[in-house]
Amino acid sequence: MSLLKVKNLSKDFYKKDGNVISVLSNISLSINKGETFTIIGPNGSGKTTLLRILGLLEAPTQGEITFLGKEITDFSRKEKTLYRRKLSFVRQKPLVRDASVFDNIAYGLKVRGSKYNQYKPLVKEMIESVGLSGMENKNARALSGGEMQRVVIAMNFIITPEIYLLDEVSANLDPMNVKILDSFINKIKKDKEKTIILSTHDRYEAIRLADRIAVLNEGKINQINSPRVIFQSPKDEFTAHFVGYENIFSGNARVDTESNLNQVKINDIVITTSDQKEGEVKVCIHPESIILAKNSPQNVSSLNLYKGKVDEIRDLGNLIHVIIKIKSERFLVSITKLSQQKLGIKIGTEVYVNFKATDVKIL
Amino acid sequence: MSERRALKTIISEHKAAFLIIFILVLGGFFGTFFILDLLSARNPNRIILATTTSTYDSGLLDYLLPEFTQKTGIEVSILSVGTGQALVYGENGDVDVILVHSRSREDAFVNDIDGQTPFGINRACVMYNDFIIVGDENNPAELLQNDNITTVMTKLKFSIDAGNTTFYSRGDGSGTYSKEISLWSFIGVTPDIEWFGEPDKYTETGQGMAATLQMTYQDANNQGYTLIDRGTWLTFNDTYTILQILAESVVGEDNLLNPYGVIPVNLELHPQVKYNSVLRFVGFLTSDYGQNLINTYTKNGETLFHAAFGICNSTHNCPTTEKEISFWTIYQQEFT
Amino acid sequence: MDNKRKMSNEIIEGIFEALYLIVTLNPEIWSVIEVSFRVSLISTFLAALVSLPIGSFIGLREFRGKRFLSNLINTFMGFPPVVMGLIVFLLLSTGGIFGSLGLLYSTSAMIIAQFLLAVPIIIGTGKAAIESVDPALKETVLSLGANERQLWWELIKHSKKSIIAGFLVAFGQAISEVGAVMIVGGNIRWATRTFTTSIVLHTRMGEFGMAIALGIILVSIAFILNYGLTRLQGGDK
Repeated sequence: MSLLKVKNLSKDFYKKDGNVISVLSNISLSINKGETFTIIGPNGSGKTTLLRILGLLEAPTQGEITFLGKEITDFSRKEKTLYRRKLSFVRQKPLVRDASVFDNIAYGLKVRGSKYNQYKPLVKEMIESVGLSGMENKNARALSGGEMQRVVIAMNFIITPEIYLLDEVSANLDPMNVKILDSFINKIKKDKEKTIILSTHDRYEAIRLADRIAVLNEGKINQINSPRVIFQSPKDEFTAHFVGYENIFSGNARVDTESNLNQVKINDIVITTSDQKEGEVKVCIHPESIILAKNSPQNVSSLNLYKGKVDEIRDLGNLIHVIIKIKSERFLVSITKLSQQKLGIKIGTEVYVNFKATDVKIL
Repeated sequence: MSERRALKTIISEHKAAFLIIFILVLGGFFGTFFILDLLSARNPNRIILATTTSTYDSGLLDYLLPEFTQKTGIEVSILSVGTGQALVYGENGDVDVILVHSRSREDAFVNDIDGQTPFGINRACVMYNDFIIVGDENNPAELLQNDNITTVMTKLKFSIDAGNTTFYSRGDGSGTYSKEISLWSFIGVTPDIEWFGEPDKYTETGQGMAATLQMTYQDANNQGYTLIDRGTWLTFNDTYTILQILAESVVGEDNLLNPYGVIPVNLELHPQVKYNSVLRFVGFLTSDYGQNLINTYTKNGETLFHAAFGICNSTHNCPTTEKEISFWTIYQQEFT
Repeated sequence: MDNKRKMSNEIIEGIFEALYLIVTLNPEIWSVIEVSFRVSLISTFLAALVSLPIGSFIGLREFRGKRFLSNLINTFMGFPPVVMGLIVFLLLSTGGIFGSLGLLYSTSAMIIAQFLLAVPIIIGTGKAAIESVDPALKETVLSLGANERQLWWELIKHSKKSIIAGFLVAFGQAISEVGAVMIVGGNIRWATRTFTTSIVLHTRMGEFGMAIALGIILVSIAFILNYGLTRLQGGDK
């Protein structure tokens, strides 16, 4: 169900010398309730601006944005406040109010009318879950960078909004905080009433978290699709170069106690990985790591060996991208033109696909 | 620690209440004094007197008025301004009574001919002091002790024209300035035209008496002269020892005398003035008691003012003396 | 010259007399202190009450004509105090619109004049303070769900040093002002005489002791105010 619909959105920026820069041009997209929508793109592509406009921190120059069917850019001041209270916006660089840690985290609840006795326990709980116990009364601006980031995470997540807007947050987080953030996000993803819209540089984060990805370039939407499609079949050269190629599958992982190998069941295929993570996972394999053979290779060390049929061939000059259909899944394999000629790979050719367990990454 | 938090939270949750309390307290402060001021404006036991700076600075009023307040319970607020200002305040009715020393302008103030309503009524002569001419002890104009006024002014003009004297004038609308101009007129000179654009001959300071005296003293060529009231002179003469009195009132002449008139503001024009209290005030000033106080006021051991009620005809031409005596006798009764 | 030495003697005597007057709690000095502080404090506080909301709201919002309004405010911030004194005098004088109140030559009149002078100062400084807050902070507060009033309060809190500095500037101007309070107050002894008008009077009368005493106190006040301002100049974050 469409939560936010963006139609023909443009944002122009007027420079002091009179020139106009189009930060966003003619953006149209639709974000569904409960999904994790990720926006990726190079620096300056307009990711932050788009997010800010969705958060009503900036107004578009043109275009309309509807939230559950209502045009948010036309909202009155009151309606804007009500809309903003449905969301939270985490900036790239952490910024806290000049107040105690407790006060900062409590703020979102306070402005929504919560009284001290009501929010005190919630805040205390949140302080513990981000590991800042004992620092309630310290001024948030006197904290270290990492601690401040945790305050920011806490103060935004305590208000349990309907929409989470996260602007390249992981770019500035240290690893410990990334873990904290991830655990919060994963909890939220389970709730189908909550929607997450995040922008990122990190391809793996996008693959890991996104239900759908929008690729933004120079203010324009390049492609919107599931991670698998974008990473496997990027629309054009730019996207291909920017996102890189990946094979992405969702499946269920379980470690076999005997062999100690992690088996991931992906529809009707089982892939072996050396990564130990279990449960619902996303799995990623580089196209370059996959080896093609005309005949079933014998006595090889790689544990993943499958038979499939060539479904598509893309000539990229020196490299050839071959899409192999294995049972109900498609694998992208990257080989040299020479190899293609040598093996005589054509559409419909039966081939054997082979890759190591260590090349199967769980995200 | 948690108690402090609680207090801060209480304040922040009841911001509106605290703000209102603050406004009430502040408003209370201002309001109280405001109301007091409004009441005082209507209170007949408080009158406002406008007088000139030289009168005030002589200290006479601070000596005289507490006696009046003690006897009658009436407070007198004194505004010390220039003669012109005092007269205008009187015209506007912003004050209840004025005390100035500029007879011609006083006469205009009480003028009831030409069909206009006078600004003041029942003027009374109170006292006089005198003006003196002081100058550098070198006395380049060669003024002599017994020179009459015409001689004095003539000698001054001669010396100024020769470049040996610089005369420092108030150059403002003050009583002193009016007197100075009238002295020049005895020899047919209008000084600001005579020495137009020649400040090294005739300097119009535009300042008060003390500042003008200072400039006379500081004259680069030690050739400064000025006209000054005795009161101000007595305040500063110790400081400016190179200046001397070079001309003062000669027996039989009254043109260096400086008579003071007190004028109640006209009730008809300004009904809000506290006329009855002013009547008592003037009664005090003109009573034997008050007049005696004036005569006994000294500064640096010298008397400054001389009582003049009823006898001003002996010191200078005063056409209203009879009228004044008959009007004010009643109001002097309470002060015998 | 003989006289120059005499003059400096006067001044030295004046300083000693000043200390004497201060130490013995001379009543005239106390009357002047009371009037000066009462008038300046009340007028500054009232002005703050009225002007801070106005200034901060102007700073908060964008609207057409804001630049023009800002220019207007800046112009009035530099309004010559003595001219304001003249205007208030004309209004409160018997012939004036509010003449019938009879407020001329009262401390209320002085408060009114200083109030009118302080208002543009506090509006201007309040507006500047709000506008100087990091826009990122404004957005953070908004994105946490604050409505306009809540945002306004947060911005006030984050610029309180600059705001207080504005109050100090207004108060400093009020307490050292001489023209307006002279004209509308009348410099009446015990009633409407302030530090500044008293210094004028006593200097004119040659009473340097009193003048210097008041001068010392006034300069000390200015010093304390400026010290406070310097401390606050560290600014808000």
